[in-house]
Amino acid sequence: MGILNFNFNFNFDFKRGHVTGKLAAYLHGELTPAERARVMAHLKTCETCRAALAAEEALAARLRAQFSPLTHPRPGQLARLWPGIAARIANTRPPRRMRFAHRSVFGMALTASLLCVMLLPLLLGGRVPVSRADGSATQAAFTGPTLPPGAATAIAQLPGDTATAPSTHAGQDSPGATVTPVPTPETKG
Amino acid sequence: MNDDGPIPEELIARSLAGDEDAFAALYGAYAPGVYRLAYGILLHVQDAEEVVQDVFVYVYRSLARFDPRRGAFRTWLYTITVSRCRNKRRRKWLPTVVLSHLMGQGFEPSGPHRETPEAAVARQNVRDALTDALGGLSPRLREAVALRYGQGLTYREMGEVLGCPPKTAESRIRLAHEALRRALSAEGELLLEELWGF
Ligand SMILES: [Zn+2]
Repeated sequence: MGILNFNFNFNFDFKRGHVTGKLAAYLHGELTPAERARVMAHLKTCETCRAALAAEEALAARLRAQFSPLTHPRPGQLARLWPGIAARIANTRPPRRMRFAHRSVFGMALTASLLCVMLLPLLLGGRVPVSRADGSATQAAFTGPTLPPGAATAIAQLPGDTATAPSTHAGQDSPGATVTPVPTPETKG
Repeated sequence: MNDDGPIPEELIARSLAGDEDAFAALYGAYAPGVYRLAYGILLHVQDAEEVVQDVFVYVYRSLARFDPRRGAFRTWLYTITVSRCRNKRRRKWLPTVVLSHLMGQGFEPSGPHRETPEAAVARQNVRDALTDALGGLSPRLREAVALRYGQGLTYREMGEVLGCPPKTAESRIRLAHEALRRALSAEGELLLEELWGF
């Protein structure tokens, strides 16, 4: 039986005062100082939990080593996706102006509705002076810039489209950063 | 997730001003992370690619809604990615992992030495075992694993992306560990010890 075969019953362990349920967070450096101190104190005296910690460490090490490579894109894979994105972006559009135009249209409509409600009693049978949202504003919002031909060229040299993760995603679960060493067990008298 | 620095802000501002080269650069910087997250959750190449496309089209159209005061760009991006992955799952059953998809995805040994064919097969078997084990996790647990081990997020950051308290992120990681340990203990143990020194 190997180290990964170590399984434990969290609820049972919790009732017995074991800390098996906290070991993943302990390894990830996610416990509060008080929790961490409690776990470390318990580990010094409990062989069961030390074995559980060893199993957790083995699994975490394996995931750190293997998960990320498992998910890396193949060279050229992401560059191949860009033309489809560019085409969809070019067909509908764009960020800021459309948003403000929508706000403007909705704002005017909302104001008009409120005015209607407020003025209706005063204008019984009369003509309600509602300003109407002009469709031209919406139309203008959809006439944004188009994707320049150079954009595709820039994509062709994706920095992260290789087997190596880009620096912006370098926050990997590095062993030295988060793995906590197993506390030395107390010497048995 | 505070590694955004000034570069994304500048690219975002330029993209909002209509500079598509800037958006292309944004894609170049963040598409790998989005793909890795999507693939880590879905374990399916074509679905992950579709998610990448959907995410960046959505991001382009919604860039003005991104508010850096409310969180890092990467958090926003990954929140969208997880949401798209969930939509993708709703539309169809999570496919059985096709191991051939995993071939040729950067699995070549990194050292200068060449592996024997037997060692290469053994190494592939170890990875296949991990993929099978990941495929057996519930989607929520796989999301947690992908964010923690694929992206290196803290529990707090995971909570921001997943829309849950950090304690929930912690418990999902714990449950994922338990499930993975059970799944992995059944297979590949000898290979693991031989290849990874466990
Ligand atoms: Zn114990």
